[in-house]
Amino acid sequence: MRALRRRAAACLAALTLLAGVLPAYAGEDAAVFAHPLDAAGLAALLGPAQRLAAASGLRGRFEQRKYLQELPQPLLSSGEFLFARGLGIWWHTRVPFDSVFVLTRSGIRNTDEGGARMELRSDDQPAVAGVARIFFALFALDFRTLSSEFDLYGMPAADAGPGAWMVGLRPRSSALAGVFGQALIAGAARATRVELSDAQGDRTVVAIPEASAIEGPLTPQDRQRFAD
Amino acid sequence: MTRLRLQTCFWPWAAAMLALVAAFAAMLPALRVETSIFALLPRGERDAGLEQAVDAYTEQLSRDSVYLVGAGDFAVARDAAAAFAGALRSSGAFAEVFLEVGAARAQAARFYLPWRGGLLAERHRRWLASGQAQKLRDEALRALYTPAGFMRPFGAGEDPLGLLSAFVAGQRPPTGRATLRQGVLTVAAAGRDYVLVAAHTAASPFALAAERSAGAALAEARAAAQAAGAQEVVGSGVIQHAAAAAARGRAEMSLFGGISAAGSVVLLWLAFASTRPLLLTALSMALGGAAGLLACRLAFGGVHLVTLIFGSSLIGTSVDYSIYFFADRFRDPRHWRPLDAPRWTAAGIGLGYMTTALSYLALLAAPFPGLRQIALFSAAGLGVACGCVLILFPRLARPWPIAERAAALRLGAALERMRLPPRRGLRLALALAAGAFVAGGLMRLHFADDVRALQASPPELLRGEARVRELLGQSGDRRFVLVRGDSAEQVLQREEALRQRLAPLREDGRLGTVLALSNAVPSLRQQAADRQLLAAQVYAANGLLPGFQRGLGYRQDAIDRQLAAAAGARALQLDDFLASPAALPYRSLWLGRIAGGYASAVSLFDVRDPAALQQAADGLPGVQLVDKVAEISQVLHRYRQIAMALIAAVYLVIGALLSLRYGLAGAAATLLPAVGGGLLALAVLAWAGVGINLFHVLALLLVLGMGSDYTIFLRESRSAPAPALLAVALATLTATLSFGLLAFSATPFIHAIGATQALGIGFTVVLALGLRPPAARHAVA
Repeated sequence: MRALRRRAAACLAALTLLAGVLPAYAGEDAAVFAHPLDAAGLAALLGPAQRLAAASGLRGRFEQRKYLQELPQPLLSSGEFLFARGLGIWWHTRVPFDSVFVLTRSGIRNTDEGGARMELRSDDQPAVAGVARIFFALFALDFRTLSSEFDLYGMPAADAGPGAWMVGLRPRSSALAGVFGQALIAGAARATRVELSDAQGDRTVVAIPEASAIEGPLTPQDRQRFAD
Repeated sequence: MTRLRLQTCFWPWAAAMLALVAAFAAMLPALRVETSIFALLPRGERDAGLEQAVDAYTEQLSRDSVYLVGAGDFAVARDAAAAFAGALRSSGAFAEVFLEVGAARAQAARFYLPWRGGLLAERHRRWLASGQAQKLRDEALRALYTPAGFMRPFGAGEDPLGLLSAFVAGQRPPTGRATLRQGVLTVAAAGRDYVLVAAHTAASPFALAAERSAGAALAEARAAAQAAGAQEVVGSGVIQHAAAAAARGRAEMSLFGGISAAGSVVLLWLAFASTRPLLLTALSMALGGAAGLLACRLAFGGVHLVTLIFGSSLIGTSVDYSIYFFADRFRDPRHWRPLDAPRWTAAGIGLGYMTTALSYLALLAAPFPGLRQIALFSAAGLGVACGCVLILFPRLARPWPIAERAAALRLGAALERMRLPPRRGLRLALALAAGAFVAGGLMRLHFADDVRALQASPPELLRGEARVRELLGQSGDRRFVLVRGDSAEQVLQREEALRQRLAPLREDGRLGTVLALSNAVPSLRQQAADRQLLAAQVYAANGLLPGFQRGLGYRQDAIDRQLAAAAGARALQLDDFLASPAALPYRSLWLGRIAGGYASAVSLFDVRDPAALQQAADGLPGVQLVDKVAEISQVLHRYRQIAMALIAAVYLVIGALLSLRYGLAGAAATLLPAVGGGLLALAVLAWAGVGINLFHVLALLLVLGMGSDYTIFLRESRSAPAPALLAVALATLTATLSFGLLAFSATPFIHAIGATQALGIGFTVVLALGLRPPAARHAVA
């Protein structure tokens, strides 16, 4: 009980710190939505980052912060991921608990450390395949596909360093707006941060401190990660 | 005596005919033409309430249709689908057309928010009831820390534990594999993207007017989709089949009716070479047709398309009486007076009508709506035509000059000379051969009572239907479950009991999706139990929710707000649900008040084990598995047997009737050609490998009625056979013409009737001529 209270106090302190930082941060990001760009313009803006994303896959580490309404401090999680073009996304959360999330065209599979499995087949849920398609396009920075569902925005982010850029996405259909309020992707030589906001005001910020392109075919071990 | 009585009837009959014409003219504009095959078929043997509910549901279902618009590229497919939907909308034939369903689905999910404190998914209910609340907590954590949360329709603020998200996800829309993309439902297959358009017709698809407008709208919509780049448009739904059948029916009706009428005119002209007989015949046919329609309108409130098609062949029958009457002209080329004609023809026409009417009236006894219509139409129509011939013709007809060597006279004389076959030994051999042929045929006889064999749609529509099933990866089953109760609440409770029984079948794949109203709006009893479970385990002060949120770091006031929102949850009422956008996929399932109670339908997909399904539905009060196809096939089977017995009975009655006039042996001789003709027709069908169904048997009944006309005509005019022979020859030609035409119908049961009847009448006439009583020759002197 006491431990909890102490943690709450720490959180409160963190919150006051964040409170000073967040608004400016958000405001700076919002500026991108004043700069609409088409898919070709975005490709030119991103340059090498998009060529990287066009590789047969991408692997790396992630650090996720989830900001929820009424929750003073963000929920932190981290782990590793693998994006394999044509196969799907393998998202391995290690902290705060071990959980593997696999998204493929045929559905979603969740496996916890305790072995608990949860499956959602896209044959049963019309929304799953749609969400999968958007996530795949986000990872591949496939703006042609994204442009059919989102209005696209983009601008150079000079203050973040040379070659830095920021891309914004806003859904066109109200159906999608229920899931994604808006999305931001920032990076330079590659994407380093993705931020998704939903209609209720919750935000998920995913930082990608490390990532590398996969050249050539996937190893059998990696392939196995997407098998049923 | 007869003549005198008929004479006095002239003015009353003429007045009656004028009244008939007036009534017909008044009724015609509002005449309802029905086209559903089911309207023709007998009702299942069930209680009226169930029957009413089944009808209400099938009617609802028949209004729905689904189309997939395909193109090589999604954007093109989407534009083409928009063009398709636009054309359907602007046609006015469809009450609702759905393309952009994404927003509606999101809205439908949000409808549940106010009731979130009391709705549970099956899985969560099981966990909470069995003390596995831990699983629920793990699932909620996973949604917060991993991408799993993105798949939920509600965020952590609205639905912290994902209870409502799971409840909503448990409702699977009946669109199979289709996925949401840019707000529309789509499937991809073989390099093409298909966009789904659903539509609901304004009126029952079986009203002829609706079919016509929907058929035109669909053709226009297909053209619009193709113009917008669609490579493929396939559809599924009753309306297309109904529209196709109606269009075909109309075309057949005008084609067959036209050919039949034209053929009759040509034959009459060849035979009589005078306009007056032609006009009078046309008059009697028209009045007969009007009487038939009027009788159907009065007795049934409308008329079925099939009756009209069948009625167009009535021409072939009613013209027989005129022919027989005018053929009398040749009896005495010099001194014939129309007023004398009834003396020679009245008995033949009267008896002929009586036997025909008797066989039609036998149809009237069968509880077959379609057959009763045909029977009434024919009996009334022929009755009026017969009356016109006997009462109007003697006064309105005039003798017309006939050439010494008139074609008709020569034909009559030639027929009189002909006796087939001339030699006794040959006759015996022919009789034996015919007997062997019939016996062999009867041994190969097999019956086919499946109603599906009676529904024939154009192959491209059937292919489209199969393609839709394949693309959506599921197929709605023809079977459904009907649930009834004293109150709406009881119906929902009974549905829940049924779903519980079906759960094991769904788990091991013996059954696909089950679409039930109670899945979207649980019974009040279920909701109360769920609220209790939630209050005890989740929303209590030491329950799952406060513990979970405290662990995450929520402040107590935020937690209190969540608890307060949950505690205030009311029960979701059925009426509120039905009025909401969330009810859209379920609307046709709720049948509401029916026969003193309430009813709903549960629709089933991918039934792979019908026996297990039946077993699951058995023994539940108010729950009934309905399989219309099987039921109707059974009914067809039973009535085929009854109709076969009926034929025997009608033969006996007609035989008894005829024996009063001709004596026992005479009656047998008169019936022999019709019996033989029927048996030979049946044998031909059997040798051809045709499965005999009810409609073949009914056609045999009609063969009996018409065939015995001919033998009676021949027998009644033994003293002057040339005119009778001529009449029979002409009548056969017109009858074979009209029924032979029906054999070319693409509607299976009209085809069955037409083929059987053309064969039967053909054989009957050959027999009647061949077995003509030899006494005729002596009687002339």
